[in-house]
Amino acid sequence: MKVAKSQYTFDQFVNYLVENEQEVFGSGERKQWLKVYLIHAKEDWKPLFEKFHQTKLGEILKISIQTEDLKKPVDFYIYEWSPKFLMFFTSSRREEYEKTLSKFIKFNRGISEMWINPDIFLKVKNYLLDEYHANVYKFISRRSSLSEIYAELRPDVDKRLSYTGEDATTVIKEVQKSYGVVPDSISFRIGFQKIQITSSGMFRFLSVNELSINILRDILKVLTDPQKMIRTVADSICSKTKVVRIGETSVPTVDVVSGIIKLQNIKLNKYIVEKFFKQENVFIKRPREFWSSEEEIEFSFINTSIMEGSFSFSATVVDDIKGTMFGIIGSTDQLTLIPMHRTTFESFLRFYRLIIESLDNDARFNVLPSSTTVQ
Amino acid sequence: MTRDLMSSPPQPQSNKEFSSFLADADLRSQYEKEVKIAIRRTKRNFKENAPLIENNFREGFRKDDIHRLVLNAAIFPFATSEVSGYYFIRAAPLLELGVKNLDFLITCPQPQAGESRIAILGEAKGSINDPDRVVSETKSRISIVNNHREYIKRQYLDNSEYSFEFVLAVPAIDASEVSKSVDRKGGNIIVWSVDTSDIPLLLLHRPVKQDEETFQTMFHGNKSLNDKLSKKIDTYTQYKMFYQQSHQLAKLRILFGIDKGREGGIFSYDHIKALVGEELHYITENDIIERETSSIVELARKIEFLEDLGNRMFKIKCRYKNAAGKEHEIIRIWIKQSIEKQLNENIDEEIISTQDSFRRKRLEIPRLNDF
Repeated sequence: MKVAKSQYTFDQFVNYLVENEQEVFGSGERKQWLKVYLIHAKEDWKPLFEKFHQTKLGEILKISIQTEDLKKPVDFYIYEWSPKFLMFFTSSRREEYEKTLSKFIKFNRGISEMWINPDIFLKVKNYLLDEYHANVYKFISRRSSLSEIYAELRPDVDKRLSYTGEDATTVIKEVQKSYGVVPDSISFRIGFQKIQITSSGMFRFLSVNELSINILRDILKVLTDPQKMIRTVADSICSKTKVVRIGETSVPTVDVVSGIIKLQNIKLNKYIVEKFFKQENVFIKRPREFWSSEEEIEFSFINTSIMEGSFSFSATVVDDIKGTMFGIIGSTDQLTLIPMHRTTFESFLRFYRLIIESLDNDARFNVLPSSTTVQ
Repeated sequence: MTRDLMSSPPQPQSNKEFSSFLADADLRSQYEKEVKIAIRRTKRNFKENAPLIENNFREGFRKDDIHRLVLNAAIFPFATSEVSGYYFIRAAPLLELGVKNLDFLITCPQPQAGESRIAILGEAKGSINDPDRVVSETKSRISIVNNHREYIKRQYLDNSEYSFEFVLAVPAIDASEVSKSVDRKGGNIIVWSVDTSDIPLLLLHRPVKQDEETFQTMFHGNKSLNDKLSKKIDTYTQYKMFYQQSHQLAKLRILFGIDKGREGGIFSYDHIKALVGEELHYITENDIIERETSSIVELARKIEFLEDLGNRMFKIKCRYKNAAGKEHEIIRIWIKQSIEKQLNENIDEEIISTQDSFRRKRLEIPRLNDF
């Protein structure tokens, strides 16, 4: 993806892409898709990319990431769509993304792929079906065996289903009903346009025209508020130590803002929590095309304790990707997240995702003391 | 019992030295034969007991974790100023004196009108089999604390006058029996109950009135604190990963995520020290944080969990990438090394005792210059 050097506003940038589609993305067999990755970053995000070659193009920042296993650098065009929310435009292939930005996100703190929870993801799907008369022609759905989503058939088996067919719009609902699987990736056809959306916040467009840009803007409208709410919660969870002066005495005190995840559809028990702590089958191997690296355990649960009788449990959680450590204490219908060390927002976003994907689709995330609840 | 991996018990005299001391050839060969037999016997006995030793070790580690859940629950509301006017000051306040200690110190430096300045010294128990033994043990620790009141006053209470109160924090299921035992033993201990049956709660256990005078000693002097603790306070069992008095392996957990999100998984001594400082936030003395950090580094190196890259830079050395695997691995290595160490110590003890007996025999043989 090559964009002429200039000073762009966001509108000018996307107009440039539309007006120069052939020059930017190529044509015929070699035509590249436009990919837009939605990324959460810390407030002061620019220093994160200091080590890459950068070109400022007005509101757009171009970065080029070169790695040893790539012949040439991969370009990304960054736009801060809202404070702490970034959009990365690129035409690079999935493999190139994985070797560059995805790897960078994985090994650096303060940055994370956006994750769209299943409710919002379905909202986006339905919006495209209703407003743009889109048809689904391909999708991937999955289900965790611990999930409480209704399924007619064998709900206690982990499963992943990949389907291609012109009747996919109907099948996506049918398999949800019968197998309780929830979509992770959906490909649509709108006239000659092809679009793919994933719950990891990636959007692919075959054609770059007014329609695709309108669709992108519409999707952002649906996503913005829910993403801001979940981010506010994840940003708030922290622990700060201070020394206060009481008369003649100095005393150490700690301010702890904890998170709370309230479960709506599931009652936890010893069996579920033991399985969850072991992280054995909460993940289903997802295909490479929409997961950033080889699947591996993302959270470890150590120092675990499960009290039977009137049920409760606790554990120390280690984010095996970003290094955050936090405690959890839980009962049948809620988990409290207590920050301990190296806290960074993306650990809590991903932990909430883990709960949604493996335990309860409708879990709600909030801070203690309660303010706004994220659903 | 599995011994501390970092301890250093007495060593026997070297075989060469001892043999030359024995001088007499017959005695020397007799000694060597007996040492061989002793080593063989120790190894055989040890092999039989190894599963038990491993089990004891795992049990010790588990008990330390359970103890910390109750200790966290007792401390948390005071560390976060949840109970207005009361502050968690320090865990194990007499640790630096190397004496038997209570687990925590909470103070009320500015009481509300009509109430007193109090210093609460408390002990937490994770599980209780024999309440009488626990209460007696706590009472003997209280008497040690009482012998060091001046030190505590000077060190932690700004040399001001405080009334001392003593607390035993126990799991809710044991609170009633512990309270009865305290009552039988003359009171003067306030029982806090940690209820983890749902969201953890901390509350004052109200004793059954037998004797008015004893009954009164099982409440705090400040009514407002009794009221607050009687209403049940939300607390957390997960708060600190370790305290100074915790099991050494529990302290190593602080290293489980330290290499993540860092270039090449490389981190510095100062990174470890910063985490230790956060964990022991109530300790202001830099030398203690330094000492704790060094001992974590030393142990991690000893069990080959840490690779020293020089320049105070480190890398985690473990075949598992995730924390659950790392924990599994450090426990495995710790047990292996501890068992080996204990076997060697047992062998050394046998050699020492054989040497003692031969030393006596040697002294019984008249030497040439005795004539």
